[in-house]
Amino acid sequence: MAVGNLEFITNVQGGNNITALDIDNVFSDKYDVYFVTHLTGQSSVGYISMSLLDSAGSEVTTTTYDKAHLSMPAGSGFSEYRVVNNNKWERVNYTYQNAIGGTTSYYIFNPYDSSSYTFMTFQNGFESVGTMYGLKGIGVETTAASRRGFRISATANFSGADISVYGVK
Amino acid sequence: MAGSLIKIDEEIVASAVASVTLTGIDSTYDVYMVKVNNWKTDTNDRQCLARVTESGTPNTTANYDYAGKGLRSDTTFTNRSGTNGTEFKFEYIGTADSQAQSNLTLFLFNFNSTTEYAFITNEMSNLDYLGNAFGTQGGQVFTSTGTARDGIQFFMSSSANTSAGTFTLYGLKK
Repeated sequence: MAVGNLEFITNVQGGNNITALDIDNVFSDKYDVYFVTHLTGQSSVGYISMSLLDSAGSEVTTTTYDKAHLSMPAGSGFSEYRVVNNNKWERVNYTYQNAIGGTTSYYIFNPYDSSSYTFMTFQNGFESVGTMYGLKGIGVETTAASRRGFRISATANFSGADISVYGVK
Repeated sequence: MAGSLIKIDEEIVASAVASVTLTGIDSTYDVYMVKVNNWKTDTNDRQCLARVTESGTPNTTANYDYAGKGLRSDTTFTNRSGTNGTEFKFEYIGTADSQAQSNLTLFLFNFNSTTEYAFITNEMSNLDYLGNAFGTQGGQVFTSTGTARDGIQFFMSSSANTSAGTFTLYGLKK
């Protein structure tokens, strides 16, 4: 019987009214590429960001994050969002107006490789005041260093986040 | 229960090669996935490309159409589209920045069919040859029928070499 090559690593569920959630010790030399699912959880208002955790588990807050995404609202024009030299990948997910929260899937490339930058792509869907949005985006963290996990943070408290990480072997 | 993403072929490039071919597409699965990470080239400003293979031979006819949105962190996004090309098209990498590379996820549809066009969806996150984050998300199609496609070949434009990268083909169990 064939063995599958999408391997579950962990599921992390956030508590109530938190502003950050670490998903630590998930990257290793076992995989080059990771798939992540991310249900934001409920919040009053705000957007969600992702940052990396270094080899000691500390948040990487240097201004080395570049990111771009296309925002696609249902029924109106699309818009671009770009940022360079930021201290996190801002706006990878949203929560608005007490809706259940957005959902994002990511591919993360080379995070554990100390000789490579870390890259990611993401796809998102969320609802805001009755309008459905989709996001398609990319990001790179421009430090050649090993990362062992990531942090999800928000501009407002959020509850009920649900994040799963898989290795693509 | 066994998983449902099944590795079929993998090529790891550690020294320069003209092309990389992943094979093993047949009727076992309807949909295939390709992941590529750390794809680098030995020449500056070269485009990452691919072609379907038939019995192991790349099809070079002008039957490749593509459309996508080029997402970039440095300036306005770029529409990418074209018809009747001779290959699937991705983005440009190079050597001016030592970290320039392409990281790709592709899904392949109808490759084993002799009657349906072969479709791919592409997501990528690159560092281009100028050091900018740049990746296109979109779809592409190979509009020739009559022969089943059994693989996909990756190569660089203008005869540049691939100098590094891990290329892996998976089947999605049905």
